[in-house]
Formats: sequence, C-alpha cells, structure tokens
Amino acid sequence: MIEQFSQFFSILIELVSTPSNLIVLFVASFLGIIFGAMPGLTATLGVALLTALTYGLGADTALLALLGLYVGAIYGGSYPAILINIPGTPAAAATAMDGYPLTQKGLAGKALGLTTTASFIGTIIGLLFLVTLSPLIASLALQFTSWEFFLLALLGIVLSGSLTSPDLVIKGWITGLLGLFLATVGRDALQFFPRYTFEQPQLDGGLEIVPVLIGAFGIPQVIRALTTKNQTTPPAFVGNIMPEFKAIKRNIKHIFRSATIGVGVGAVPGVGEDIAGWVSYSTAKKTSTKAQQAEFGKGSEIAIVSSETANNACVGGALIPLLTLGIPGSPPAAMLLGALLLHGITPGPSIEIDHPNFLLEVTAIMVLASFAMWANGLLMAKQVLKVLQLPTALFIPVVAVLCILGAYALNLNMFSLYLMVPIGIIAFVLGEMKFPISPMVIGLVLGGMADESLRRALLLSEGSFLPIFERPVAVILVIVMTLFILAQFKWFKVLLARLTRLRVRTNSE
Amino acid sequence: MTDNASGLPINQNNNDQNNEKGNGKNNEQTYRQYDFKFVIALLVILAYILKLTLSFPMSGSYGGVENQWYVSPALFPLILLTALFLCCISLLMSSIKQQGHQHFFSLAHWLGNKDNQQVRDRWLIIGLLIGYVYLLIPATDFYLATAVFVCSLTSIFYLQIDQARRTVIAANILLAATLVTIRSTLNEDPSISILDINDLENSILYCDLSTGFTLISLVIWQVICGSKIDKPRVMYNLIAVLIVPLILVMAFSFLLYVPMPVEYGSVISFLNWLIYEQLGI
Amino acid sequence: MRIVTYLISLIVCLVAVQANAKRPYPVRPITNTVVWSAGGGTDSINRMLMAEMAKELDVRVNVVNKTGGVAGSIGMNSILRKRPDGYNLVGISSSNLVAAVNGGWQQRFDVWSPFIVGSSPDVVSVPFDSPYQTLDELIKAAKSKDIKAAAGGMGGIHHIYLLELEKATGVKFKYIPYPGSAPAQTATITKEVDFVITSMAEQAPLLRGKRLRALAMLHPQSYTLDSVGEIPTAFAAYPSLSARLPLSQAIGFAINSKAPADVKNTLTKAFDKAMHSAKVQEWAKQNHYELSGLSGEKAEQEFARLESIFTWTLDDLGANKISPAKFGIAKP
Repeated sequence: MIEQFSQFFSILIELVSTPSNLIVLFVASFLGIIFGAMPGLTATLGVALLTALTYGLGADTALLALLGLYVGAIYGGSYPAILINIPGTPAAAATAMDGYPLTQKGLAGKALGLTTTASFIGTIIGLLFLVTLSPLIASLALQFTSWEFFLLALLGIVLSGSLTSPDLVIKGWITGLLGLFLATVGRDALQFFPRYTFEQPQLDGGLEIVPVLIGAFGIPQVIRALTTKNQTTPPAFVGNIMPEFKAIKRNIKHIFRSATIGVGVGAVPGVGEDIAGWVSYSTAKKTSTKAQQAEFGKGSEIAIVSSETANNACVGGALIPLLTLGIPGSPPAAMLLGALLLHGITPGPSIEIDHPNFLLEVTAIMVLASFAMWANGLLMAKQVLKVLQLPTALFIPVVAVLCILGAYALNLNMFSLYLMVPIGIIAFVLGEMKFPISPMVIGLVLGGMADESLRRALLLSEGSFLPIFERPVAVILVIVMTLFILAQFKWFKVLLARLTRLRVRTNSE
Repeated sequence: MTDNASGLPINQNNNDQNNEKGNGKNNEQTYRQYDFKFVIALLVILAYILKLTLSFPMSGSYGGVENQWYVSPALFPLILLTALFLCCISLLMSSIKQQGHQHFFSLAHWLGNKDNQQVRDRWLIIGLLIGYVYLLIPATDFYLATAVFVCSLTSIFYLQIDQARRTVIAANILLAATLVTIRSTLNEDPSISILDINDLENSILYCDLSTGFTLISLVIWQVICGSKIDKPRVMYNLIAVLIVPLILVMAFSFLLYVPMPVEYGSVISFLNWLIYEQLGI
Repeated sequence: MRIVTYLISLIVCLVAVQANAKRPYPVRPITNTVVWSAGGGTDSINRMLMAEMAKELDVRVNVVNKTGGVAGSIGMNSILRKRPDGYNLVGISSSNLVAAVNGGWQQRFDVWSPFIVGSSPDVVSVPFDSPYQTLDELIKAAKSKDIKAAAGGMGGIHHIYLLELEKATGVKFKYIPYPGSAPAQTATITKEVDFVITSMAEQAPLLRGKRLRALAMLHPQSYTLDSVGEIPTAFAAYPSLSARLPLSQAIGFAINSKAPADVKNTLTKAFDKAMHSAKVQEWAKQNHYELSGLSGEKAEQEFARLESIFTWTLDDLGANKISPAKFGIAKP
C-alpha cells in the first residue's frame, strides 16, 4: 500500500513538472466545462471530438486531455442547472431541483462555489477508492447479474417516487410510471419485438434520453421565463466565490457519503452519472432531519452538495470497471475506451501486464484533472454569473436555440427535435398542473434496464423468483428497498421510534 | 358540447371571483379539477395502449427465443399499466372528493383563460416553437430559420413593440405557408414529407430567399418601431438576432463539426466556401 | 447595410457553388458518419482509418456518429439522400445488412460502394474456472442438459455464428440475448451464462486477464494469443462449419455508389495507402483484426454474399419483418 502511494506521488510529480502537460490539462478542463454547460452537448460528444484532435499526440498527453475534459464536462452541467434551471447534462438534473431556488434567492454565487469545492473533494475521495479498493470493487461489480440490475433499477424507481412533489405524492408516481413507459418504446432487447413504434423506423431504437431531458426541462423553462411578469433579475452575488471553510465542514458528512454513493454507482457496469446524482439526492433527503428535509426543493445546501459530489465521484467509479475489466461504466467511459484503443492501450484485466502502473497513472491524471476543474470552476463562476444580468427576454430565445442545436448535435437526427418539442409542451402543461417532471426522466433512464434485466433473469431461472434470495447483493438490495418503502408509512416510523426508545431504556437499565 | 359552451362565461366569472379571494382551498380545488381532466385523458390513452399491448406475442418462438409469459415483451408494459391504472383511480377518487369533476366540459379550463395575456403568450411561444422546429429548420438554412425565430420572440418580449404579436404571427404564418407551398410543388419524391430535411437545391434556394426576405422585413420593422422606444435596445436586439445565431452556427459547424440540418443552405454554403476555399483553413 | 452585405454574400455563394465543381476532389473537409455509437468497434476503426486517409487526401475527415433506427438505418438513409459528391461517407459493418428486412429502409445494399477494412475472428469462450475444458466437452454436456449461450445482439453476426455452431454439432443451446458483445461477455464472467461467442478483438483482454478461457476458434485457422497460447480451430472437429463460415464483420466505410468515378478512384487510392501504413498494420495486430482492404467490385461481391446469409438466417429465425425475397436477395 505504502509503496503504491509513493509510486503514485512520483508519477504525480512527473506530470506536474512538465508545463505543456499542465496547459493541455487546463485547456481540456475548460473545454469540458463549456461542453457540460451547453444544454445537449454531453461529455460523450466532447470526448469523441477530442479523440480526433488528440490522435496525433502521445498516449499520455491524449489521456490527460480526455480525462480533463470528462471531469470538466460532468461538473459543467451544474452551471445551467443552477443558473437557469436547465440541466446541461442528465447528470445535473438532480442539481437543478435545489440549485435554481438558490439562484432565485440571489445565492447563485454561493451555490456555485459550494458545488465546485464539494465536487473537487468528492472526486478526490472517489480516487482514493480507485487506488486502494479497485480490485475489491471490481469483484463486487461482477456480482451484478440480471437480478441485481433489475433490483438496482427498482431501487432507483422507488427512490424517485419519494422526491419532492409540489402537490399530491401520487402525482410523482404517475409521472415516474409514465417515464418508465416511455422507456419501453422501441425494439425490445430480448426478442427484438417492436413495441409502440407505430411502424416508424425512427422509434425503433427507442427514445433518446438527452432530447427528452432538454425537452422536459428546457422548453417549459423557456416558456415560463419569457412570460413571467415583473422579471426581476436576481441580485448577482458579489464578493467571494470561495466557500467558507465552515460551509465545507458543515457538509463534510454529506460530501463523504455522496462520494461513496457516486463511486459505488459508477462502478456498476452500464450505470453512470445520470443515476448517481439522483440516488445521492434521495439518500441525503432520507437521512436528513425533519427541518432539513423541509428545505429540500427550496434551495437546500445539502441537496446540491449531495448530487454534485456524487456525479463527480462517479467518474472515478466508472473508471474501475473500465480499467480493470474493460467494461465501460457509463457512455462517456465507452467513448474513452474507444480513445484508449486508438492509442494502443487495451484496458482490461491484462492492463497491469501490458502497461504496469497504468491504474496509478490514470489516478494521478484524475487528481490533476479534478484540481484543474476546481481552479477553472472558481475562476469561471464569477464570469458565468454575469449571464444572470443579461435581460431575460434577450437571453432566453438564445437559450432556446442552444437547446435545439444541442439536441440535434447529439446524433444529428431531426427526429430528436420532433420528439423534444411535444415532450416539452407536455412537460410544461404537466408542470402547470403541479406534476413533478423529474421522476419522468428518472423513469426513462431506468426503465430499459428494469424491463430487460427482469425478463432476462426470469428467462434464466425459467420463471422463478427464488434466485433473488440466493444472491447476497440481491438480498442487500431487497432489504434496502424494503426499508425505504416502509419508511414512507407512518406506522413504521412510530414502530422504529419505539424500538429505539426501548433499546435506550434497556441500555440505561 | 354547445350547451356547456354557453355556460362558459358563468363558470369563468365564478373562477375569477375565486381567484380574487386568493383562497387557498379554492386554489387547491382548481388543481383537483386539473387532476380530473388529466386522469380522464390519461385513462383514454392507457386504454388504447392496453389494446396495443395485448397484441404483443405472449407465446411461441420469436427471434430465436422460446417465448413464455416471463419473456413476453408485454410483461413489463402490463405491470406498468396495472400500476398506472391504480394510481389513476386513486387520483380520481381524491379529485372527485373535492369536486374535481366540475367544469370538465369548459374549454377555458382545458386551455386556460383566453383573455389572460400571459396564457395567450404561452400558447404563442409554443406555436412559434412548433413552426420553427417542424417547418423552418427542415426547409431552409439553419441560420436564417434561427434568426427569424429569435427575431419573432425578441420583438414581442424584449423590444415590446406595440401590436408586435399581430405582425409576428402574420409574418410567421405567411412564411410557413410559403415554405410548405415551395416544398410541396418542387418535391420530386412523394415519399419525402415536409418533415424530412430539404435536399433539393432549387427548393432550398427558394426557401432561403423567402426566409431571408421575411427576416429582412422583420428586422427593418424592428429597427423602425424600436428606434421610437429605445435606441440601445435595438442595438442589443440586432446583436441577438443577427450576430449570435451566426456565431452559434459557425461554432457548431466549424469547431464541433456538426453538419447543419439543411447542409446545402445558402448561408452555410457561403460560410463553407469562405472558410475552406478562401481562407483555406 | 446589412441587407446589402447579405445579398452580396448570397450571390457570392451561388458563384462559389459553381466554382466548387471545377477544382479536383477533395477541396473541403469530408464527413464520415458512423452509424454505430461512439467508442464501438466500427467507430474506432473508422476514426483511426480516417486519420490516416486524411494524410493522403490532404483535407480533414470529420467522424460523426448518427445512430438509431433499425440496424443503423437512420444514418444510412440520411447519407444516401445527400449529394453523391464524395464529401459524405458512411461508417458501416456487416451488421447493417439486416436493416432492409427489418423494415428500416427500402434499399438493397448495392446502393453503397463499400471499402472493407477488416474483421476479427470469432472465438468460443467459457468462464475461466468453468468445468468445460474443450469444445467437445461443452457439446457433450449440451446433449444432456441446458447449456446457456450468449452471443451479443439478436440477429447479429455472433448470433449467426452460434446458430451455425448448433447446426454443425447438432445440439441446441439455450440462447440468452444481450444488447451487445460487452454485456454478453460480462454475463459470462459472472457465470450468468455458460459460454459466449464474440470476436477476438472484444475478448482478448479478458482472455489474457484470465477472466475467460477460450475453447476454440470459429475460424479456419487456429490462433495464437500472447500469454494464452494457441487456441485450436473448431473447423477440424466439425468440418461442416466451413460450409458458410467464416463470415466477415466487414467493418469499414462506404460511399454512395452513384458517386463519380474519379471520386471513387481518389478514395480508393487513399484507402489503399492508409491500409498499408504502419499505423494501421500495427493497430490491427495489436487489436486482433484481420485486415481485408477490399474495395470496388470485390467488396461489393463480399457484401452481396454476406447480405444473403444474414438476411436469410434472420428469416429462418422468424425475426424479420419483410422477406428477403421481396428485395430480390438470393438464398445462400
């Protein structure tokens, strides 16, 4: 272990001592933040573009640039989420829930500063896991068979049902179920049977998440921002973006927990940043006190720290299966795999044979990348805040165009736009009726996994549910889920409170 | 339907009074009324989806996989449908409990109060967005389409020109009608619809000319009407309408290598020529 | 003032379009649209090859991804409708061949002029500590009990290999579909299934890292893998495999077959140069690809052969929407 750390620091120092490396890193990180901040431009597209640009460079420099961009892009998504309530990437959707209310209160600067530092600390914690526990986490990730994937998706759905609903709780469940339903559109993964495609080849591949996300969050925001009377620009924060030490200390518990969740979610193959933020957000809510819970959805510090830390820590997590098993943990990680192959590096179990210390090198680069993200973030936050001072009526039409270009750029398909507009209108109308929109997006993200894994698991067990109870990870997931569901009911809370009291009494006696 | 429509103004009055009181309970009742309409609409859709779902293969072999109930593509949708039906019924009950079924046939409750400027503006934005995405982008150069769209929005909400809505609506409808006419007359292949991207050169040229003409007219109108109100505002507006879309188009096509939807549009062809052949980058 | 500028630019642009035709191809950047997602096999091969070809063509070649539809039909449809001027290429593989019979589009594959880069041979593998030591043992076991098989996406190339293996050995496996090769391999490592058929390119790191153990190559020659040793061919024990196998993944790119001859010539020249470059050769060796380098008529013939096998196999499975006969595709 100690040897590993000393080796790690020697690699780190070697990287830092080359000025050209640092320049590449900072530029890539800056580009990444811009990419993340533009609605629709995702980390995946950024990594794809940079792959072409870094083709001629050496493998080390290319890796530096790619990882710098990846980390920056995941973080950059929080800017539009906090400032204009349009998440730039699916990963930042949870951040918008509490980030935007803070902006409305005129605390945008504080929010940005806090998420920047929390993301930085979160990534570093995630990396500590990567260095020390990667073989263990990788073997744990291999415990995930179809049953576990199904249960994980189900857990995500159960968590999303408890998210803040401005009106009746049942409304959140309805939009969540509708989101799950949207995920079933297209060819089913098991039998290739076209479901709800209405003979349209465009629907065969299912609905893309990014156009739906931009439609569901972007379009209603454009409509509302333009037609809201008395547009008072919130006072932009002047002064120190650097968060106080106290604020960090106050939230350190949440940062640590969220980083752990982020790494865990990221390490599961095929599950990525999109989900990490939500899981962390809901867990934060569940584990908070009553008074803190009331703050959720209205601009809670804990909420933004939790979601942002988790999605950044997820990057480290996603690299674990990529590097140790050659299985990409998330879509941008899949692109990263392609880029590594181009440079003659084949990630997988054989990587330590072919490229000794590669894992440590990646970790060192990641540490630098998150540092670059932090520095860039703090420098940029002040400039980005000026966006709020632009007249809304001039700025929002441009945002609308950006949303449209972004959704188009993802796969150059007009159908994405044709899909995005009706989704946006429906989301707007639902929002006016006080239906929460976020569960719909979570449903769409998780629905495919739940459907496919459940049926494959049943196919393997020939219709029996018993294998769930034979698998340790599955049992843990079932228990966690049952606790979450039971916690919704009053009688369970009363029971729990009584039990604790009883125990305290027996202890004191 | 007509019977109910005649009762509309009365309902409207009641509603207005409720709003004036600002009573929380009445406000909640409005939401229950929305819920009722939503649930009814959703149930109709769900019934249709159920019909589709029941036609999925439940047995037999499909795609090389032996089919059983647990592999059927209908399994997951059916679980979801059951859950949705239960949720709908629960919402319906709570809605009826609070008189949510009232005003079900009132059109104003479906579309919002038509005398309310805010409500009308919202529908106007939706209309402009639909026109922009479904008619303008696939037919004509992306820069021109975007400039017209931004221009329409800023004249109403930023410059706040008197009677701007009427002019903008007229200009957009006229342009949309022209584009549809041009495309359908010049269309060679009947399988290509208005929603498919325009790939005929003469059709693109005519579409670009009409969009360009609309843009120029709108901008001149903005400058003339806007100058009366506020000069610097007109300047900012012109930057947002003409310069920003140009920057966006250039950034996407030359830095991010994202080809524009209509690849052979006039402005983008000109930019291509300028950048690659004249400047040789 | 603006108006005048605009009008001038419009006229200039029209002139430019005219002038464009006179200079030899290529004058502006070429766009290669890969119809499979970023980071996959087809995508990485295209990105590498285009970077090499760009050196020869002396213009930049942008690689973009346009996924979706039935077997990449959306990307293929949109590129086919662009001008056949050689500025739009499409990155494809033999998996695109089933687009038509699945209702993705109404074209036979002869609308394209393909350039085939290469293919990676298929290999049968089991989890590293699986009780089955040879392919024979696996086949024998399948006679008495259910053996679960994974082979990438439904109707894809690896699935066809699995079906051919069943045909040649006379046993039936329990096929478990996965959306792609990577999840199929992961499921094998977790022992959700008993064995997997994917390409050597996809499996090599797992074989070398002792997560999977190769039983046999579904390829006429045996294969030697560093730090694993020689993997025997299954063709020796089951000669009837050679009736239709091996099938090529035929990863590469294509242009509209209506493109002018000089454009095709220029591209072919650049393609040949790139294929012989040290970079491509070395990359192929490192990533376990067999280079093909076919273009022109030979590549078209290869695609026609594959089209017939792919579409009719799907027809046997009953997993297609439209019969291949409707497109005039002959039975293999």
